[in-house]
Amino acid sequence: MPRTTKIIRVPRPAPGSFNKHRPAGILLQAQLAQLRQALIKHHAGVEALLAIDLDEIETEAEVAEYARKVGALLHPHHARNPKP
Amino acid sequence: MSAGLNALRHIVVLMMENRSFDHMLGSLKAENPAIDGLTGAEWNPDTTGTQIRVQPLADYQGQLDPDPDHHFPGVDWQIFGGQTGPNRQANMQGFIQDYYRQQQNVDQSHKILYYFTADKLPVLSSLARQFVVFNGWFSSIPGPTICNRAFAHYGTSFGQVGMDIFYWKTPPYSIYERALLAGRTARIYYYDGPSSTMEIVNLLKNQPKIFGTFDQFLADCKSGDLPDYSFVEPNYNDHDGPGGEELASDQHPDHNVQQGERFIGMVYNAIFNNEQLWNSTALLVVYDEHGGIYDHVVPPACIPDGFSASADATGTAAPFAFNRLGVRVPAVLVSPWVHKGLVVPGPYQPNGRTFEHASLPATVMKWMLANLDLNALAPADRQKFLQATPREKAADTFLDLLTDDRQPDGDCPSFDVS
Repeated sequence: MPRTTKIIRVPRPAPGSFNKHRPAGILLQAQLAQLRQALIKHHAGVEALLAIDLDEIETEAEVAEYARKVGALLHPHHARNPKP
Repeated sequence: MSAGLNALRHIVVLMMENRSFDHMLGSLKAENPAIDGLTGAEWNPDTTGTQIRVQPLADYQGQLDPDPDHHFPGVDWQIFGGQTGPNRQANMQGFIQDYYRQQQNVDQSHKILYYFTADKLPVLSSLARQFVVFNGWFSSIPGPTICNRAFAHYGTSFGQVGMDIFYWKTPPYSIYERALLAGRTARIYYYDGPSSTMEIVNLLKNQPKIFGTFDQFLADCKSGDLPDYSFVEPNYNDHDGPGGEELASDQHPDHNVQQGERFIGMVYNAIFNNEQLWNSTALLVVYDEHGGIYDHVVPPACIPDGFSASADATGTAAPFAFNRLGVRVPAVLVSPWVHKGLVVPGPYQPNGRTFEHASLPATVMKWMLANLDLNALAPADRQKFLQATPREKAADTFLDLLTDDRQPDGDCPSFDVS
């Protein structure tokens, strides 16, 4: 049974509202600059990991740490917050 | 402590883009005089000297192109009507003239005073009628998005008044990092990968674990796994998604306002549809700044931020001490524990209160502190957790609006966004 009968219909935007070719405004251009800056940091992280000599990784803990760092770069959202 | 505050387990903030209070909620004054909206007599001079009144002609899309100026010099012109000098008085008379400067079209410049009738915004208007409207919630800076959103995350913009992305300095720490230090949970939910977030340079780069997507938000609401504090970002651009066209929902001009309405409705529904979550959540819908669109209330003074922006940075030939707020924005607090139709008076009204985006970290910290044994934290963590900027320390908080009385679910709306 619905918890409320006060259902309010919200219309869809008119057809033609979508325009992925709209020139990007100043906000999206600023976001673009932010993304590039983040990429530089990401790239530096990749370089640092590639510079590690794999022959010097000997223990399971060291392998795990390397995997954690690579995983964090490849899948930044894989580490979720603890549940409330 | 009120029953509503006692029940509170989650604070959710949805921050939309670039619309002023009068533009979105101004028409509601006609049905509730307590709302400090529009009488219809408000006006601005145009470039021919003609007095142009506000008009209820705002449309969802196609009117505000080019995107109205909302950078510091433009907003300064809007607020002060082009006056310069130390003795100038804010008069909110420069909106049309400033918009004219972008396209030299007198008719087009008048559209900056257009506002929506309530029936065109069924979601925001319904929430405003049912829950709490703030007459005095202002953007933190008379400027654009990035610096204003920084106040929501940090309680400061680190001295920036523009879109500079290299603003972040440490300390202070974001509200999310501080929450995690205290053993609480916090997350920024951005819409999806192609939309991403507007908080990249520090948080996405350095704190990726605090991010999730809107799909995850919907799933977390359904499963009851919502963090203590959630900050939701709309879709910032039109793009193709796996299910087809993804229309921008941020309401930034000239994106479709109706899609933003649907997005607000989806966020609300996700909380309302989980009865336990609905009982224990406060949702604030707020806008980052006014986007260059008319509002009639003069932004009030505030305590200085501790930073100063140079004359070069402001672009107005005068420095800025962060000692006054930006233009007023819509803000609606949604919870079953608030009084129906409550209007919180603004700074120029009896018992008036002033809110700004530093009120977000201030409110979250006040709430978390009430249930935290600070001695349980390591000294360094305690120091970081308690770190608050001058603006955060001075900011008003809003959880006192949660009462002992609970609105029946049957009185509350649900939005059909199918």
